[in-house]
Order: sequence, then C-alpha cells, then structure tokens
Amino acid sequence: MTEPLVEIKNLRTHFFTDEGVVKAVEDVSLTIPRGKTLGLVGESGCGKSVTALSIIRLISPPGKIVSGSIAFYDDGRKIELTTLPEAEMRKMRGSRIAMIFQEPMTSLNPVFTVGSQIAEAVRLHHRVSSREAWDRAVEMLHKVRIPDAQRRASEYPHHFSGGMRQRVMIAMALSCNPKLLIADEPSTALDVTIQAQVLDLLRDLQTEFGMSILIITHDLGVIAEMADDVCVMYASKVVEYAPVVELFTNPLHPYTRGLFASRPEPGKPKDQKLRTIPGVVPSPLRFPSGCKFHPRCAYAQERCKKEEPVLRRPNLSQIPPSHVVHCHFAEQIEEQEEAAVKSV
Amino acid sequence: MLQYLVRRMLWGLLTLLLITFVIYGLIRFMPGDPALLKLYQESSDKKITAEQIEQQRKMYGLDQPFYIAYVKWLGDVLTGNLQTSFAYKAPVSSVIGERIGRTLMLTINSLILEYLLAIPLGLYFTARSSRLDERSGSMLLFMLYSLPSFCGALFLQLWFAVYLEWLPLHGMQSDNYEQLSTLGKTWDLFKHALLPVAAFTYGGLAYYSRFLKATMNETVRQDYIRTARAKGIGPLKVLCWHAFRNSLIPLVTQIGLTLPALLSGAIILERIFSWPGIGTLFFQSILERDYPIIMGLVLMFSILTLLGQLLADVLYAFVDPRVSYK
Repeated sequence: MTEPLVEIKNLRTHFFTDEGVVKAVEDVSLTIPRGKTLGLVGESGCGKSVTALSIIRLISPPGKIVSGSIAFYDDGRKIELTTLPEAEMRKMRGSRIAMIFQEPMTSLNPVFTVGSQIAEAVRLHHRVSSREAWDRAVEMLHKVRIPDAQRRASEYPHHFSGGMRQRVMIAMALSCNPKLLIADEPSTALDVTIQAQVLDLLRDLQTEFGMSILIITHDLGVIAEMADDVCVMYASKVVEYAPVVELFTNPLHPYTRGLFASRPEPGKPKDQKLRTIPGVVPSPLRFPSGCKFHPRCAYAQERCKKEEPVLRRPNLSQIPPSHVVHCHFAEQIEEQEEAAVKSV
Repeated sequence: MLQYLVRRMLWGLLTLLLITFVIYGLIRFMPGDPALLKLYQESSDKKITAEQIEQQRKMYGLDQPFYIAYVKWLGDVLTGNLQTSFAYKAPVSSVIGERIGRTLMLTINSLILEYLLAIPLGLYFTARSSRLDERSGSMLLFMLYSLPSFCGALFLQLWFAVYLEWLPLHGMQSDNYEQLSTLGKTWDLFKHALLPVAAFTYGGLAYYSRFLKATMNETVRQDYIRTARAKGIGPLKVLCWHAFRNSLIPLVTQIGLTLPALLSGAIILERIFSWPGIGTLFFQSILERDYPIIMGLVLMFSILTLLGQLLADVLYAFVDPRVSYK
C-alpha cells in the first residue's frame, strides 16, 4: 500500500464551553490517500467540520485538540500537525493544506480586489515580486474558468456571483499548489446547476494539480460524484467507513441505511413520502449512553444502551476488509434485511 | 460622484436656509432686549427715555418684524458681510476670526490625540480580548467614557493646578506673557493648553477605542477572517490589515460627524478653563443678546455639520468599495 497523505488517529477535539465540555470530535481515525478524495458525510453538528478544522488547526477557543495524532506525509517527511508550533503550522496553511468554505458570499474580504487576495496568498508562501504574484492570480482565475480573468482580477468580491466567488476561493486555495484541499460544503450554498459546475471544476483541477481532497458534505449525491472513500460520521464519531461503491451497495450501519432510505429516488411514486430517521441528533452536551445512535435505531437492543461499539470489520463474507462499521449487530441486521428483500 | 456632490450641496443650502431662519426667529423671541441691555450698560443715571430706546432699536434693526430682519441679514451674508456685533462694535467675522484659532488649537490637537491613541488601544484590546489587562483596561475606559467632561476638567484642575501646582488653573496666557521670548511664549501657551486638551481628549479617546474594539470584535468573527487565517497569514497581519481595514468603514463615518464638535463642543470646557475661544464667545453672546454674533456662529456650526455629513459620505465611498454614488 502506498503512503497516505494524511493519517488521523484517535483524534479528539473538545470545546470547553460554560455549559460544559462539548466533545465535538471523539476518537476519529481516518486516512486521506494521496491524489484521492475522501468524503466526510453526516448531519449538521456531527463533527465533520471540526475534524477538518482540526487538520488545518483553525479551531477557535474554547475549542482544543485534546488528544490523538494527525500525521501529514510531505515528500517522505512525516509531520505531526497536532504538536507543530504555530509558526510552522502557518507555513503549512495555504501552501500544503488549503481550505474552501461553505459560504462563498462572505468568505472573501469585501474591501480587497479578488486578484490581490489571491496574490497575497502567493506572496506569503513564495519569494516572488508583486507583479509575478498578480500574474499568478490572473492565471489561477483563468484556471477556474472565470471569463476575462485579466480584467476581473481587479474587481471586488461584490461584483461576483456566489458560484463565481466560490471559483475565486478555489483559485486562491490552489494558488500555492497545496497537497491537500479541504472543501467544507463547497457547493451547499449554491444552486444546483452551479453546484455541478463547481464540483466538475474541482474534479478537473484535482486531475491537473494532483492534490488530495477532503470533501465535507451532507449530500450523498456530492459524495457519489466526488469521493473515492467515504467516512460517515454521527454524533462526533465515525460510524461507517468504506470505499464509495462499497458503501453505496452495502450500507451496514443503521444510520447509513437510514440516510440512503431517506433519499428521493427517480422512479418512486411522487406522492410517496420520503422515509425519515426518527428522532433528532442528540445534543453534544448530553450524548446518550452506549451507542449514541441507539435512541433513533430501529434495531437497538439492550446491549446498545450500555456498551459503546467499536469500529470493526464485520464478519460478513461479501464485505471487503476496507469496510468498517461501528455497530454491535451489523451482521444480524444485514441478515435480517437480506431475508426481508428475499421474501418480497 | 460629481453629480451626487452637487445635489447634496443644493440640499445642504436649502437646509441651511431653514436652520438659519428658524434660529433667527427663535433668538428674536427670546426674552430680553439687546437695545435696553445696551442702554442700561451705558447710561450712568439709569434714566432711559422711550425715545432713546426707540433710537437704539432702530440702530439694531429691531424695529422691523423678524422675517424682514432675517431677509436683510441674509442679504448681508450673501455679500460676505456678517453684520456688526452689538457688544464688540466690530464686524462679526473679525470677532470670530480672532477666537477661532484658539479653539481649534484645543480641539484639533485633542482630535489628533484621540485617534492616535484610540486606534492602537482598540487594536490591542481586540488582540487581548477577555484577558486580565483587556478586562481592566476596558473597565477604566468605560468609567472615563461615563465621566462628563466638566467633571473630568474639575478633577484635572484640582489635581494638577491646585494640589500639585504643576500647571496653571485657567486662562490662555500668563500675566507676563508679553515679556516672554518666542520660545517662552510657546511654552507658556503649551502649559495653559495641556489641561483643557486633556479634558477634551479623554472622553473621545474612551469612546473611539471602545467603538473600535466593538467593531473589531464583530469583524474578527467574519468568514473572510477565517479565510485569511486559512491562507497562512499571521495573527498580527490578520488583525491590523484584514480586520482593521473593514472596521475602518464605520470609524471613518464618525470622523465626519466630529467636524462640528471641533468648534461647538468647546462651550462648557472653555468656560471652565476661561479659554477665550469660540465657546466662551458663544456663551457670552447669548447672555448679551448679541444677535449678529449668535447668527454668525450658528451659520458656521450649521455649515460645518452639513459639510461633516457630506465628508462622512464621501469618505465612506472611499473606504468601502461596495459604496458608490451615482
């Protein structure tokens, strides 16, 4: 197996608020392969964004990485990000690890031209003249397919539409050839056609630049289109982790099953209501005991209330070793479901 | 932009007409007759005939209804003549001109000090947010902000002039001012101005640093600040460039609004420090019912207020690329 780009082991990120400790990320381990895309999926507040912000170390107080390790493999060097001094970390940000955010409308500074904002990133990490940095900014705007890039570089963010601003964000993020691009809900705030364009662009740029992408989303459609591997998070934990095709054909965790069942499907009668997962996401201040999903789980048993499961390979012949799940009864549930399908 | 400016100027002129007309009316209906006042001051035996009064009133133009007098005043103003002061028997423009520099000496210096100190202080407090030094500093600033300037002025006088005797209590010059060398004169003036400037400054300093900190606290939570940090920019540059540049927008609007305060805010403090400037003149002229002086000052304050607002709007377009006047 080739060396991964990022390896996160047992990461815990907690927020020490006045109301108590919010365990936003609990014992999360994942691997971002080189040049590939890892999708992080889950509901709002499940800890996916905090996981991403932990990698780039932009957790604001009272948040803190409590334990665990984040290893970044850069040209054969292993860099431990959790303990890297802030000055060194700053050099990583923008140059090795770049990030784009959900809100393209507010993520650019309104008082600077887009060209200068990109050029600033370039000059920060490379010894180039301001002229060269500006040319690079124009080149990047051209690469993200902004028409008339030369002229538009000297315009302000408010002259751009949401989709165009997200392209500017991508241009800025990629201006220093990062090894990892973290895309936190990059298309959520955009309308559907623009969404597809931005995702296409990201994929094309990945081919061109060869970076890894960590894409965070709650949209399974985005995952299907973008990701190579998928990590499903629920209530600060990884509940299922598998290659994308595997996950879509054999979802094992009751939560993942619920997510798939609640999708609208072409061909289904329109008047049929979508299935939902009963209950709500638990508050991170009052997580349930045992398996955190048990109050909402149709298959929950006594054991689920008491004992927290571990992330493990299920004992099922058709499941490849790369597929892991965080459930005591993954095998039994799979058999039940198989039987139900056969009986129909 | 030019078209916008012209339109604003025309509206400003209209506003100016309205302000001066209303105030002219108001002061004419104020109790107290300047003619009578003058005659009482001048006659020794306190026996004044109706004829004398009539004559004096005619001289002051008080025999006509106020709107006719206003039109005459306006006509004079348009030809550049602000009329003659009743009390000083000199042209209003020269009476004001003589004192305006003395007031500006206090207010401009204090304005410069306010901004010079408030901006670094506000930035520092933003960077040190909720630490001990910021908490106690903000507390102190809040107390200064709440302390009225006349109170602060009295404390300053009590401490530095009466108790320590380091600085003169009031006035602008020492008695022996004329005998001093140029350097000595400057030093003398400086010593006299120190306390008034301090009294002028502390309130605004507290206000602007608190204002800047509040704006900055809002700005540093914006998404583009996170973007800047994600680019790898250091905390100091994020604060002083990306965040401050945005917080400048509301701050600049404030500058325009302080323009009239440069002259009008001086009334109380100039009285306390017996500073012979515009504030003292305004106070005196109201007591003496010196209508031409009052109108001259009102005209000046009004123009400054309107210009200040215009300046704020122009600066606004200058610092915020999203704003343009078409």
